[in-house]
Amino acid sequence: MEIELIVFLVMLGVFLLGNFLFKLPVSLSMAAGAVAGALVAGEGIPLRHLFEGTFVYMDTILIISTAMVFMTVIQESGALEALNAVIVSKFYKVPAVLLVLLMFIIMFPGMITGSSTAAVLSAGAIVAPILLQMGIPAPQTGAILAIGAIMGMAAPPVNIPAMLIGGGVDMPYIGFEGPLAFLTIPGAIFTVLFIGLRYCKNLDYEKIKGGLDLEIGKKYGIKLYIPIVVIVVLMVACRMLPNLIPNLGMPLIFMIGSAVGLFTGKRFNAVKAIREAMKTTVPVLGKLMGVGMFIQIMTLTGVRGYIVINCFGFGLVVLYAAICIVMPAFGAVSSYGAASVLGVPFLLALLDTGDQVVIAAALSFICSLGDLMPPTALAGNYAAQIVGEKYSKVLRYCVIPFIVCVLFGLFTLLKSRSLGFLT
Amino acid sequence: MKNNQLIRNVAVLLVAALICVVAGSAFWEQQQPDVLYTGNPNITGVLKLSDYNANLKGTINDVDIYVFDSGVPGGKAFIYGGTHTNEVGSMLNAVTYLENAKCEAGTIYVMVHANNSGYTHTQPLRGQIGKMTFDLPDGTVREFHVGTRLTNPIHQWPDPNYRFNPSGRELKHDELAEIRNLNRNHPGVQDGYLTEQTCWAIYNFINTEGIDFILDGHEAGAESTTLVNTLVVHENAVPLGSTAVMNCVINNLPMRLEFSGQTSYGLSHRGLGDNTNALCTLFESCNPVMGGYHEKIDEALFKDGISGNYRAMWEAGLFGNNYEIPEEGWPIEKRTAYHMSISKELINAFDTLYPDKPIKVSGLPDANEMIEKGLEYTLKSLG
Repeated sequence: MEIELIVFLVMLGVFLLGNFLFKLPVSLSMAAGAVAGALVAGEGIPLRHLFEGTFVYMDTILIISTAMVFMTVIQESGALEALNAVIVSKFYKVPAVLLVLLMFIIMFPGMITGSSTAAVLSAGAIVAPILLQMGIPAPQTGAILAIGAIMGMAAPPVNIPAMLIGGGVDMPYIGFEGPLAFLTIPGAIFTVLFIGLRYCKNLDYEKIKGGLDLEIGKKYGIKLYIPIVVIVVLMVACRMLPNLIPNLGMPLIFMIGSAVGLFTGKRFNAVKAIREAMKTTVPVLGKLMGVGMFIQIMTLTGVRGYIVINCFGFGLVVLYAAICIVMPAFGAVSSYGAASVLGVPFLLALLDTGDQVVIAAALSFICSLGDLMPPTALAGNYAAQIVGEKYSKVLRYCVIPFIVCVLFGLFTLLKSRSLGFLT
Repeated sequence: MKNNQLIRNVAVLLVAALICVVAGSAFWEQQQPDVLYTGNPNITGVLKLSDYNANLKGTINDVDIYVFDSGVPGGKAFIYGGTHTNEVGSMLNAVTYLENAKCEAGTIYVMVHANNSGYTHTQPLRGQIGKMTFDLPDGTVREFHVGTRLTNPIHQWPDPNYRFNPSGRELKHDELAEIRNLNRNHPGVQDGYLTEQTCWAIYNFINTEGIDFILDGHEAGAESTTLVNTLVVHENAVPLGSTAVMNCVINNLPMRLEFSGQTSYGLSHRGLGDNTNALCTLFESCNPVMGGYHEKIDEALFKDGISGNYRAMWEAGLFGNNYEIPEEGWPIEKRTAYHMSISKELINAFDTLYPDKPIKVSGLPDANEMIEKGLEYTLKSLG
C-alpha cells in the first residue's frame, strides 16, 4: 500500500474517531487528523504548515462572521418577519409563487453567508411556521428548509465550496454568479414545488394570517428594509464601479448594514443577540480552520497529488459516478472538506472537458448537497430541530430533490462547454 | 465554578501562546537573508536598486546588482532571478553568474533576488519548504531560501482597492493581490507600492545604464504546457531570442520561442520591452513542485525534481509534446543549466547580431558537467 494512501486513511480515521467516538468538534477532529497525517508521513508536528493552513481562510471567516451579525440584526429588527408578511399577504392567491418566494427567503442568509446553518437558523426559523400553517406537514417543511438552506449556501454571491475548489487550482472566484444561479434557482424551485405545492393548492389566508406579524411592517414602514438595500447597493456598486467606489470588502459592507439595521426597526439588545449568533457560527469558522490545516498537510505529504493522479486513472464514467456519489457522501464529514479534498482533484481531472468555471460551480453545488448527509447533516439536523421532528423523517422527503439536484449537477458538468456563456 | 473556567481559559491561552512562539521561530527564520558568495574577483562593482529609486532605501527590496565590467566597451546585459522566489532555478542561475562569470567584452549586470521580500514567506496550502541546502565537497553547506511569488504582506500591506498603474493592467476584485507580483507591474511607479517601486527601479536602471538586453528568469509547474522550457520575447527581441533558442536546441537543450502577448500587461517582456530600449526576454524552466499534482514535498522533490505523478500524466499525453518529463525528472542542476545556457546563448547571439556592441562571457561552468555533477560542485564554499 502506498504511503500516501496510508497517510490519507490515517487522517480520515483520526478525524472520524475524534468526531464520532470522542465527540470532539469537527474543527479539532480535523486538526487532530492533520497532525496524525503529518506524523505518519514522517513530518513530525509541522507547526509552520499547521499555522499556514489555519489562517488561509481568514477572509472567508471574516465574511461569515460579519454576515451572521447582519442576519441577526435584520432578524431581530423585524425586517425578515415583515418581508414574510408582505410576501404572504400579496401572493397567497398564487401558492406556487408564494412557495417560491418563501424559498428565496430561506435561501437568502445562505446566499450571503455561504452557510446552510445560518440559513436554517435565521430565515428558516421564521419561514417554518408559515409553511406549517399553509398545511405542509412538519417533516416535509423540514425538508424544504434543509434543501432551501443548501441551495442558499450554494447560490451566489458567496459559495464557500466554490471558493475552496477555485482556491485549490489558483482560479479566482470570478464569473461564478451565472453558473451558480443556473444550478441553484431551478433546484430550489423544483424542491419547494415538488414537496410543498400539493398541500397548499387552496390556501386559507385567514388561517395563515395569525402566524404573521402584519403590524411590524406598518409600524416601521419602508425603513425596515434599508439595511438590506444598503448592503445590496454597496455590493453592486463596488463591483460595477471599481474605479470610482473603493472596494469596501464584504465584512465592512455587512458591518455597515448591521450598524444601519440597529436604527431601522425594533429595538433589541444588540450585544446579546450578536453574542448568541456568534455562538452558532464559531463551529463553522473552526471548521474552515480545520479544513485549511487538513489540506495543507495533504499537500505537504503528497496525499493531494496521490488522489489527483488516481482520479486521472479513472475512466470518465467512473469519475462522474464518483463525483455524484463520493462527494456528497463526504459531506457526512464536511461539505467544505469534500470541496477541498475531492473537489479540487475532480476539477483538475475534468479541466479539459469544458468550461472550468462551470465545472467548478457544478462540483461545488454537488458538494453542498453533502450537508444533508447524516450523521453530521448540518442543514438537515437544524431543520428537523426547528420543525420538531426526527431528522430521519425529514431526510426521507429530501431523497428525491437530492437525486434530482445531483443529476442536474451532473448534467451541468457534462454540458459545461455549452454553458460557458453563463460565466 | 467560575474560577475553574478562568483557570481553563488561561491555560488554553498559555498553550496557544506557547505554540505561537514555537511556530513563530520558523517564520522568523524565514525572514533571515541568504548569504551569497561575493568573492568572485571579476566583480567590478556593486550597485543597489535604491541608486535608481531612492524610495527603496532602507527597504527589504533594496537589493544588490553586481557589475561585471570587462573594461572593453560593448553591449550591456542584465541577467536576473528571484522575481518569483519559489522559482529557484532562475535565482541559482544568477548565483552561478555571480560566483563564476568573467566578462571579456561589454558589461554584464547580475541581480540574484529581484523581489527580496518574496523570500521571507511561503504561500499557504502549498505545503512548501522554506529553504534548500547543498552539501559541498569541503563539508560546508550552502543554504538558499525558497519563498513565494508575491511580496510579503508584512512589507506591503494592505493591497489597494483598485489599481490601474502604468503597466496597463487593471487590478480589481480578486486580482488585487497581483499588486505584490513583481512580474505584473512593470515598468512600475517611482513612489507607488513597494513592488511598483522595485519595478520602477529596474526600469530606471535599464534606462540609466543603457542596458541592451535583459533575461528575467522564471519556472513553471509541469502543467503549464505553453511556458515550460520557453523563452518569451518582446517583438523587438525576436532575432536575438530565436538565435539563442536555436543554439540551445543545437546543443541538445530543447526549448521553444514564444512571442510576448500584446496584453501581457506588467510582465517584464511587455512592460519593460515597450518602455525601454532593452531587448526583453524571459525564460521558464520546469519545476514539478510548483504544480498541483506532486508527491510529498521535501527537499529531495525540490532539488531532484523527480515526480512519478507528473511522469505518469505526461506519459498519458495530458501535457502534449512541447517538452519531456523524463524518468530522471527535472533536477535543480538541470533547470539551472537551462537558465545558464539560454542566458549565455543570448549573450553570444547579441555579440553576433550586434558586432558594434561586443559582449562576451567566460568562466561559467559547463552545462553538461553541471547536470552531471550537481550544483554541489559548482557552488562556492563560504568557508
